[in-house]
Amino acid sequence: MTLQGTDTQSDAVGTVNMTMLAAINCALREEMARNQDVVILGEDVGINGGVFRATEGLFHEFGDSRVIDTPLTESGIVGAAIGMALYGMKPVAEIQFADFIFPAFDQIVSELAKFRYRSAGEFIAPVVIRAPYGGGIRGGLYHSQSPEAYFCHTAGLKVVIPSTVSDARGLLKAAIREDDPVLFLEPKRLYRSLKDDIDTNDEGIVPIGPARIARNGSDVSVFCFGAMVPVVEEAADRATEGGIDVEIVDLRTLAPMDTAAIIKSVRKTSRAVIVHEAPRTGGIGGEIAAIIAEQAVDSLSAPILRVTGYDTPFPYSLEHIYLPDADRVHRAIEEVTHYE
Amino acid sequence: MTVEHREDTELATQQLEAMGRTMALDLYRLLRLTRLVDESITEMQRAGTVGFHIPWTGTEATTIGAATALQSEDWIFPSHRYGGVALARNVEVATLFHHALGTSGDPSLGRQTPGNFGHAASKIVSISSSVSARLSQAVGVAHAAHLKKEDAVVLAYMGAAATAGNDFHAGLNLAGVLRSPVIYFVERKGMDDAPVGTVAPFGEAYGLESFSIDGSDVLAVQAAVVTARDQLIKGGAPVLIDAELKGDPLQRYKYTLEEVGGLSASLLQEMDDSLAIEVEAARDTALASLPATTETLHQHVLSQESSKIEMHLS
Repeated sequence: MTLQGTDTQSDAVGTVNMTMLAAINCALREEMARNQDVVILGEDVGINGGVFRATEGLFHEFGDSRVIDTPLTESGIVGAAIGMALYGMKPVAEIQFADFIFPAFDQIVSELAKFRYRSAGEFIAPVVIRAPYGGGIRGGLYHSQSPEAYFCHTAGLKVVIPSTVSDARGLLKAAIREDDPVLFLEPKRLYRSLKDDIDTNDEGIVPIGPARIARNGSDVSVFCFGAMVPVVEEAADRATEGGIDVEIVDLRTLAPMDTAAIIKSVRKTSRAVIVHEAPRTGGIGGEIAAIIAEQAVDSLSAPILRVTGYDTPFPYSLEHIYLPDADRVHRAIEEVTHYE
Repeated sequence: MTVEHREDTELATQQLEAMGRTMALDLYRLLRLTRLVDESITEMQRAGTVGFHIPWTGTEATTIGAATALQSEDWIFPSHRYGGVALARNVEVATLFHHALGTSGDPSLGRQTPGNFGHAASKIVSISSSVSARLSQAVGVAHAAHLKKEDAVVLAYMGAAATAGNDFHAGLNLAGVLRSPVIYFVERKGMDDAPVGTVAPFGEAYGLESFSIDGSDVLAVQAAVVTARDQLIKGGAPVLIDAELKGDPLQRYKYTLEEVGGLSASLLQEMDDSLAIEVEAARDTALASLPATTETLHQHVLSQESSKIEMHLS
C-alpha cells in the first residue's frame, strides 16, 4: 500500500470518489486545518494512522502535538480528552473498537455527559469520541458490538451514526464543531464497501439531529441507521418487486432523536419496522417503538416490529445468523403489510 | 526529594521571614476560616439542615498550603475534603454554605452533592463522587496548557484510597508518557491508609518525581508545591506528592507563629473571633436563600434544549 491513492486517505481537492474511511480522514484533516485546537488522541492514531487507517497521514501533516499516540487506556484517553476540552481544546478521541469503550464508560457516563449539568454550565467538555462499531467483519465477540443504547440512555451526550460516505464526512465535521460531547459511532462494515463522489470544495456539513429520508415510500416505514441502511435498502428493493412501497428513515442521530421525522413517517405509512444490530432487549428500537406508541398509536394499521440482533453475546462463526439481513427485514415488511 | 518533619525551627523562621507578617497572618486566617466553615457545616449536617458533608478538619495544611503555593492561572481538581481551596482562591464564604445547602446561590444550582464543589472563575474544577476519575482529566488540562504554551500547572488532590482507582494509574501513566505539568497530591493519614503502605513508589514507577512531606505542616506543604510548580514550569517531570497527616495543622501553625514568629496569642484570638462572626453571617445568608427553581431542572443538559427534553416536559 502506498500513501498516495489509498482507500483511506483523502487529501485530494475537488470532486473525489472516496470510501467512507477516506471521508472520515478527509473530515478530520479539514477540521484540523480549520481549527488549531482540534487534536486527535488514541491508540496508534499517530505514526501508524489508526487500526483502520482513519487517521492516516495526519501525524505527518500536523505533528505529534496534534495527533497524540496514547498508552492503551480507554479510560485515560477519554479522561485526558475531557481535561483538554475543559481547557478549551477540541479533542477527537479514537476508541479503537466500540467494544473497548467500556473501560471508559465511567468517564463518558459519569463525567463527560455530566460536566455541563453538574456545573450549571460553568464547565463544558465538548469531546468527540470516534469508535468503529458493529458486526459483519468476522470480528467475534469483542470487535463487533453495537453499544449505542447504553449511551442514548445517558442525558448530556449526543450519539451519531452515519450510513453514507457524505454523511460520514458531514456529520463528523458537524460533531467537531459542536459544543456538546458527541459519541460518533462508525459502521466499520461500510468503511471500505461504500464509495461515493465527494466535492471537497463544498463544506458538506450535515447537521446533528435531523434524520434522513433515505427512500420515500407510502406503505411501510423502516427505521434504521449505520450498517443496517444498505441491508434495509436491499429488503426494500425486494418488497418493491412484491408491490410494497417502503419508506426508509435513516436516523443518523440517535440522541437527541428526531422524533418529529419518526412520527411524520408513521402517520404517512401507518406501519413501522425498526432494524438494528444490537440485541433486542433494551435496544434503541424499544425507544422508537415507545415514541410511536405514545404519539401515533392512532395511525397504526399493524403492530410495530423490530428486526434486531438476538439476545446473545455477539457470536463469531454464526454472525451471519445473528445479524439482521435482507431476508429477515423483508419478512417483517411483509408481515406488517399483510397484517389483519 | 524529602522535606523532613520540621522539628527544628530554622526553616520555619526562614519561611516566615520571607513571607512577611501580613502573608503569614493571612495564611493563619485561611487555615482558621477553613476550620470554622467545616465546623459550621458539620454542625448543620448533624442537625439535619445539611444533607451530606464529609468533614475536612485536620486537612487544612494540605488544602491551604498547596492552594496558596499555586498561581492564579493554575487549575485545581479538589477532593471532597477541600472546601478550603475555594477560600484560598477568594471565593466568598457564603458560596460554600450555598453549596452545602444546595441553594440557588450554589455554583452548581444545588445539583452536586455537598463536597463536590467547583468554581470555574477560580479554576476549581467541578468533581464527581468517583474518587479517581478526575486524575486522568487533570493530565488532559495540564497537557492542553502545555500545548498552548501557557505557564499553567494543574494540581489534583486525592485521599490515599484513590490510589487504588483505575484513573489514578491511567493519569500517572499518561502524565509520565506526555510529561504534562501536573502535580498529583495524595493525602494520607498513616501507613495503613494507602493500599501498599506508601504511595511515592507509584510516582517513580510511572516516571514522575515523588515528594514525601509532612501534610500537617502548612509551611512544608507550601514549600513542596512551590518547588514542584517551579520544576514543572521549567519542563520538569510531573510530580506526585505523598503528604502524611501527623497532627492538628492549625494548632501547629499557631504554635509556629507564636513561638517562631513572635505573634501574640491575643492577636490570633482576635482574628479567630472576627472570623467566627464572618462565618456565622455567611451561613445565615445561605440559610435565608431559596433552592433553585423547578425550571432549572432541564437546563444545561446540552448546549440547547433537545426535542427529547421538550417532549418529557409536555
